[in-house]
Amino acid sequence: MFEGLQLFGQAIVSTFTLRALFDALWSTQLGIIIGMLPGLTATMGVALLTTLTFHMAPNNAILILICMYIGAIYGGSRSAILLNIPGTPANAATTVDGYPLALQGRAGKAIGIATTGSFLGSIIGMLAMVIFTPLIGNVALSFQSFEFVWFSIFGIIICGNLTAPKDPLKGWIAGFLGLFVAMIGMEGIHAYVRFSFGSTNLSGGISLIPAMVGAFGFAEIISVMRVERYEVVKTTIDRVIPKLSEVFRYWKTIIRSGVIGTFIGAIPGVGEDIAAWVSYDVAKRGAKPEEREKFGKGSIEGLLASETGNNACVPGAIIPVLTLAIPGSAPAAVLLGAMLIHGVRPGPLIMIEFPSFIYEVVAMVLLATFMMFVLGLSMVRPLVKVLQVPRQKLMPVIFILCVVGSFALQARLFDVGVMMVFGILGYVLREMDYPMAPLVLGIILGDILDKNLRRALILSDGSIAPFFTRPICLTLFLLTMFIVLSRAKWFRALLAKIFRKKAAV
Amino acid sequence: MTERTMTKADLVTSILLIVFAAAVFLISVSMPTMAEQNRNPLAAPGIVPGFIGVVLFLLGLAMLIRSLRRGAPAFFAQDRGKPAGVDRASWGRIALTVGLCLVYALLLGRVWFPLLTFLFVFVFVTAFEYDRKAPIAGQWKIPLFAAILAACTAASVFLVFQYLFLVNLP
Repeated sequence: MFEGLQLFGQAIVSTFTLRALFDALWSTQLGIIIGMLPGLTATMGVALLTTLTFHMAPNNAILILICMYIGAIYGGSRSAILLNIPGTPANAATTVDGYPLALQGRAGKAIGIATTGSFLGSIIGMLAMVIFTPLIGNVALSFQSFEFVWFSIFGIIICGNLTAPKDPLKGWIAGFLGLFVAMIGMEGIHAYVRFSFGSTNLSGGISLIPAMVGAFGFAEIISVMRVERYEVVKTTIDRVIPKLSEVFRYWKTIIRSGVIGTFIGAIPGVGEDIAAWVSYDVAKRGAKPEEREKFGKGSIEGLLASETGNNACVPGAIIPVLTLAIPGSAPAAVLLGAMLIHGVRPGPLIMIEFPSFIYEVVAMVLLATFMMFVLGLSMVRPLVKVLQVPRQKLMPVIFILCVVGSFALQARLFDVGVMMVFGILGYVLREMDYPMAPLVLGIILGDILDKNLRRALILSDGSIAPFFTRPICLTLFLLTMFIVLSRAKWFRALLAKIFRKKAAV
Repeated sequence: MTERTMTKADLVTSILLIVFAAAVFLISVSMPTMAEQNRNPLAAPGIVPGFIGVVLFLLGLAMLIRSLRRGAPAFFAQDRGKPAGVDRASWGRIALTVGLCLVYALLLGRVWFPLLTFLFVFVFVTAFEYDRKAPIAGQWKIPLFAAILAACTAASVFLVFQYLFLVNLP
């Protein structure tokens, strides 16, 4: 425990340098701007910055990416409040109460409340990170291949279930397609080349970053250009800095949303958008009757709930990245990719190989959170002008960055092709309600599944019994089965019958 | 997308998925087991892709059954000959965006990067800002501003990547 505090103290001292403050300043501001602009998401921002920072020293680059991540998730609240369009999907729940507040001429107050909520959410998430990352890390050390096989399958299933709540079947299909994409190219045990059909480019495999830049960048450009232009609300921005009493009246909501956000963040592939909706929903149910009436009509509590929830999700999503190398959200998936590029190997061994790295990441989150808070409460009025840049001027420039970014990592034109294919395919799939997050998660988990399933089979000498008898395996198996079966009508009917019988007895 | 078109789309995608999954499975089964190199056949490269193929096949089958139950073939029969109810304006914008981007990506490496980038941004902005209904004479500002933006983008991206990030652009 005290060793952890000492490491954390050292990490703060080593992270908070002048250079780091400067990097955090520009990258958080850039993140806020990217988050504000509808069509530019946190995932895309982190992916594009990964390509731009890969010449830097690992710690500088990862700090910049975390600042971009936190800044963008927060920045999306601006356009949610001012335009009724969520800047990133994470801020969809913010529009429900943020926009009505702007219409009432209280846009400044709404921005201030959103900033404070995001700040507190991020702090709660960060505390959870300090406490739980080492704990989970130590437990993860005892995991073997059998557990990792179930983690990858469970990750895909729960991610598909939660990111496509209306039709989880499509979420699962997207996830398994992602797993398949990871199979393309040379495999890690025998160096046998799979599914390349003689192409040398394909035998190198599909890289994560170009695929993500395509699925989240190019696909987004297409859907932004599809709709007619949007109008900015003409609203006066009043006092931005909120009164402390206004915020702390809702301390229960803040803590609850922070905990919910962090927890949802830690679930593989389930990101900020779900965190915000769940925390909004719970806050609405838990609110006092007179406050509940205001939900949807400009409730401060509702706005706080969604913004606290989505920002608390960010540190939450980083916890499994560090301890299991399984991303908690789509931007965290890019972050994981970036860590691998920079030679940091997250996963169970991180507690042994880079024990101080966990605390350095926590210190980076802390720095980014403070930067976001300061920048969020200053320069509000000039930044509104950014929202007035017409999309047809912005999108071609973003596309150029997508192309150059995909190319820059390995200087292969093939990666530009990968970006284009994933963009168009991603757009088509999204139009048919297939979520993108499980696809991306699948690309990452594919390699974990492949190596561990085969290793596990060798360890058990071909027996599949250990997959079901080890305690963690059994739990994960039962959870997976429950998630899948709970979507089937006969299973739900059966459950209802059992519970009714019990109630009758 | 309406529920009706979604059901029809699901039928088509589920059939494609089943065919795809079957192909994945067959290719995986035909992969060598590496046993002849004295390797453990339990770590054969085809195991995991084969498993993924089977799961995708089952998922595709589930979707096929579901779309059949929801009456997808009947929808297809009823809608035959009817004009597809697509919004032509938004399809036009999608086609223009994808088309321009594809041309850019294909010409990359064949045309000098700054020139290609300049042309792409210029054409993109002009094409989307040009209003067919308004007289041409009044719209001279559009290409002018597009050219300025295009020149700035091409120059800054080229210089920043070539000299600051040391990436040799195509």
